Amino acid sequence: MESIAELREMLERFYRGETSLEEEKRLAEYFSANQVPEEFMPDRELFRAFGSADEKVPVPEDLDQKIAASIDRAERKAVRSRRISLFSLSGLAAGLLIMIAVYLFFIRQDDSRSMIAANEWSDTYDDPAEAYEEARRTLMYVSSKLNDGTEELKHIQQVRKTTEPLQTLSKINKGTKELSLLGQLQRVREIERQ
Amino acid sequence: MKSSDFKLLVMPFSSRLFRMAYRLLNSREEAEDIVQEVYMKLWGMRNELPGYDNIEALSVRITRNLCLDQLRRRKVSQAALKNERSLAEDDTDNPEHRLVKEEQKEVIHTLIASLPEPQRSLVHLRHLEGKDYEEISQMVNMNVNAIRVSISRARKQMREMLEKKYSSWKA
Repeated sequence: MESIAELREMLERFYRGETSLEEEKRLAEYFSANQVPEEFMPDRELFRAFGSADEKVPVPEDLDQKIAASIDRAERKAVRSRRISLFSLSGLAAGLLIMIAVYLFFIRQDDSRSMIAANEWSDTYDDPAEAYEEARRTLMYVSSKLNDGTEELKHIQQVRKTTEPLQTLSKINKGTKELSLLGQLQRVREIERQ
Repeated sequence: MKSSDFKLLVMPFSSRLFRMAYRLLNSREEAEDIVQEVYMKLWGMRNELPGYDNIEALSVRITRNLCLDQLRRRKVSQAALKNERSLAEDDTDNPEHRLVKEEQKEVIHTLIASLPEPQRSLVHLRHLEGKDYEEISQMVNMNVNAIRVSISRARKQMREMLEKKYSSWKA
């Protein structure tokens, strides 16, 4: 700070909230190092109060330890609750499975028994010719539906046609097999030479 | 996020958050509880933290909001300030020096405690934490101009108090 006039100007800007952090630092340094005219005493007290503020609030020594312990506790709790929820979920699933199994085993069995009981084998036709005709008609119907189904499979024939040219590859395979026989012949000759 | 990564990310601010809470509440016990609460809140958001640009600003914002909630629950009483004085750090300096320090301590306490919100938070962040206006803006959700106006008022009010005090010393 060059002069009192400069100090005054900077202080005016300070009280208007227009100074930068750097300028405020310069003001603080100035007040801590210099004697100032009486008119600036309140300003000096203000900057001195700011400067000594942090040492006035000692942070508890064990603050970080306590926070870390809380975090660790929270983490353990989270893991435990995740395990518990997984455990209870699997328990629920097992329970449901047992219930389904019981249902299928007892109740459905009873149902099927009662159904069988209700549909006891009994003759529905008095005339054998009529029964034969009805059976033939039913089988013909089933057969026609089966034919409809196989109709859709005709496209597979096209796939077979496209793979036919690949059959020639087997000829190449045969040729290489014969060549391997030549190799064996070669080895026999070598043995003979020895 | 594992607790070890979380601690690395947020633990460096603990002292600053404590001081901020203390400035706003004037009670060490309450400040400590608030900081614990802040960390539990941050832990709750641990998986979102990497998405934040400025985690310190977020931590300060949470601390301030929790302190304001606390202040709403109880009016800051002069008793808390007195109580704090009795819990002051042990000073091994000579009695005279201690007296001067106590006097300075009272000055900054009285000055900041006399300010209403948001001035108290703003003065703390600007003058005790040395934050620029942009950072403070992120921390308190106010625009920079409003912060300047508020800080200007706070500075003038604190100067007035000191002027009165200084004239009473002279008298």
